[in-house]
This record gives sequence, C-alpha cells and structure tokens, in this order.
Amino acid sequence: MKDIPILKITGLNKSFSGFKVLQEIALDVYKKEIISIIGPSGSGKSTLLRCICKLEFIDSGRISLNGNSIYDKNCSETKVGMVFQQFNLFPHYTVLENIIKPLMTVGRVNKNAAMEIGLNLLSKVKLEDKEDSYPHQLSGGQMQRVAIARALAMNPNIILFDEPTSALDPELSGEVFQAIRDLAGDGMTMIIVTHEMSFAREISDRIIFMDQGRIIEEGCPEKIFDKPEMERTLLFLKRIKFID
Amino acid sequence: MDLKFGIIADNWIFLLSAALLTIKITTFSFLLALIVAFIVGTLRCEKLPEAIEKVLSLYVEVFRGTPLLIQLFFIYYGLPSIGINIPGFLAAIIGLALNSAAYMSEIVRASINSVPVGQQEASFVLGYNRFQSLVYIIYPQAVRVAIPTLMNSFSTMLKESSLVSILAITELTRIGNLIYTRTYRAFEIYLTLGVIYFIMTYAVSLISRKIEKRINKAYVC
Repeated sequence: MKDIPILKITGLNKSFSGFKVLQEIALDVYKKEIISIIGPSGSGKSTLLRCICKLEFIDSGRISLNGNSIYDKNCSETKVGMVFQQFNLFPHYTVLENIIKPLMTVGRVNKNAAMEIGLNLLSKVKLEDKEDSYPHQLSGGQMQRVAIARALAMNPNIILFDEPTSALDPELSGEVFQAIRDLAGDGMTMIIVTHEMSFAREISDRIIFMDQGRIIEEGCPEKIFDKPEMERTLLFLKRIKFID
Repeated sequence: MDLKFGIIADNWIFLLSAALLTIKITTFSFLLALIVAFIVGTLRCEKLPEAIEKVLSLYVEVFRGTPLLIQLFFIYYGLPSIGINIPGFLAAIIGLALNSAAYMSEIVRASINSVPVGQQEASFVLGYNRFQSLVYIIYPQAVRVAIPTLMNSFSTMLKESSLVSILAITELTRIGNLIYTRTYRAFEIYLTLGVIYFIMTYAVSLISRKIEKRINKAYVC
C-alpha cells in the first residue's frame, strides 16, 4: 500500500500580503490513507487544503497528484474533492441536482447515468428520501452529507474536509462523522482538518499538528495524542483539555 | 372653471397609439439595456486589464453623471457633425438604453457580488470553468436578487422615455404637446398624460410583485 504517494507536497510556501501563512510544508499522502490536521486557529490548516484544491495560488514549492503537478494542463480538475465548513451547496438546485448537475456540466455524463450515480450516492449517505428537497429544507448535517455525496460523484482521488462539522450543532456532527467513516471503509484517501480530537484519533492513520504555518509534528494518533514529542503539541492538547 | 375633457375623448385614438409607442420604445431600450448591463456588470466583477476596467468605469460614470436630455441631444443632433446619422427612433432607444444600462450594470454587479464567494469556490473545485460557473451557479442566484430592482429600472425608463419627445418621436408626451398646441387645454391634457403614465408604471409594479413572489417561492436562502 505505501509505495508512491498519491499526493506529494514539497517546499510549499504561501503568504498573504507579506504574512507567511505556510512555510516549507512537506507532506506525502498515500493511497487509502486518512490524515487529520490539527492545530490552533490561524495555523494554516485550511489554507493548506485550499492550496491543494487550487483555491489559493502558492508562492513556491510543488504540489503533485499522481506524479503530475496540480498546475499541469493534463491534470484533471476533478481529482481533488473538497467538503467545506459552510457546505456551499447550490441553493437553486435540489439535492439530487446538486450532485448530478456538476457531473453533467463538467463530467459530460448523460442525465440517466448521472441520475443513477446520484441516487446511489444519496443512499450511501442515507438521504435517498431527500432527492427532491432544496438545501434550505435540510438540517446542517444533512446538507453536509449531500456535500460529501456531491464531492464523491466526481470520482476524486482524494477528498479534503475543511472543518466539516464546525458549522454544525454537536448532535448533528455524528451523522457526518458516520458518513466519513463509511468513506474510510471504502478506502477513500482523505485529509481532514478538524477540531474534533476524538474523531481524529479514531479515524486517522496519521495526525499532523500544525502551528504558525509549519508542520510541527506528525505521527500515528497514539503517538501524537499520548506521547507528543514537541512542547507546542503538548501545550495545544493541554489548552484544548484533550490531555491533562 | 371651464374644463373640457371632451378633447381627450376626441383624441383618444392618438393618445392610445402614442402610449403604445412609449411602451415599445421602453421595451426595446430595456432589452438592449439588459444586455449591456449584464456584460458591463459581469465584466466589472472580473479581474481585467486596467485599461478595460477604466473604460468600463468611465462609461458608467459619464452616463450616470450627465443628464439624459443632454445625451439624447448629443446622439441625435451632435453626432451628425462627425458623420454619424442615427434616425430618431433608433437614437431614442440607444440613448435611453445606454443611460439606463449604466445604472443597471451597477445593479447587476451588486447582485453578482451578493452571491456568497463559497458558491464560486465550490463550483471551481467541482471543475466548473469561470464561464460555466457564471451561467449555471452565479447568474441564477444573482438574477433573483436583481429582478425587483431591475423591474424598478423599467418603470424609471418608462417615465424617462418622455424625454425622447424632443427627438420628434410622437410618443405619449409629444402627442400631448401636439394636442395642447391645437387646443390650449393644458390642464386636461397634462392631467390625462400623468394618469396614463401612472397606469402603466403601476401595472409594471403589480407584475413585478407577482414575479417576485414566484421566484421567492422557488427556494429560500
């Protein structure tokens, strides 16, 4: 399983008007691996995800997917899926349309085939009865599950989650976590930025701790949460009262 | 007091056809203005070379910053001096359209900007290019915001179209003036003109309320 990384980041730097948001980031993600990125607000976690899906340009460094730079013309746009904190569902489309319209517009899939994919994915996230609802008729947890199905429909190599439960009431987080767990069971490669330490610990193969734009420490969940080597990691985990 | 509304009855056929011409001029101008406004408003939301941005903003500022009457005079009486002859009807439509489009492009721009940036980002990550994102994701949401204000622009145009009477187009205001010079019944004539303009703009606002209700039913943000 761990031979060539599916996603490889080297020497990545990014600054916003002089302020260094990401500094010398290096990260390899292997197929089927689940990585959680934790760290204090403003540590650059979300920006890192936004660089990977090209929502931000990078100042220097290289991000490659299956060996091709993500800026290469021949690197397909849809190989990286993204699930946003604010869901960003399209309000003028129904639940099913949210999934099939991108397939038809971008993926050039015909309507019947797209419908089949869409309905399958909806039953996967347990929303088969909501296909004709509009996003505003759903709960936050349901919206986020539609967003996950929408990202999956494009058949990405990797899915990025940017704080997928931060906009949700705590009792709705569980259903989103379950959807992510199901994806993990299917062998999807994922990077999850989250503040939910228990979930990160449970689901991840590897935890990355970031602070002030740098990767401070990484390792398996047991190492990071039980025996962090770096002072800053320990301080962060103490501050959020995840360890005492 | 000696009021003679009989002259209105005698001239009703002229008033009616003039009112229809007013509607025709306004509709043509509005459609042309819509096209210009969408192009200009959309372009002004994009990152463009500075020269193009300057030209677009110059257009908007000049047409908003000068009287429509002067613009009409300039197009109809001024341009022939440099060899551009535009017939009255066309000059009226171009003048009205360019003037309103300057205002309407700002409505379009504000409506596009009112669509949350996350919509654009989500579509981009899903692989939409800028054009697809505009057509399928941004416009449907922006138009919904823009429609009530754009309908208001239509009413404004309807009223401002009375200025094209100076281009010798026999629309409603000019017909009123012509009847006045024959009869000298200013009170009856201008009151009637006002009533006809009011009926037309009121009808527009009723229609726009209907449309608004329809689009609000489709979905709530």
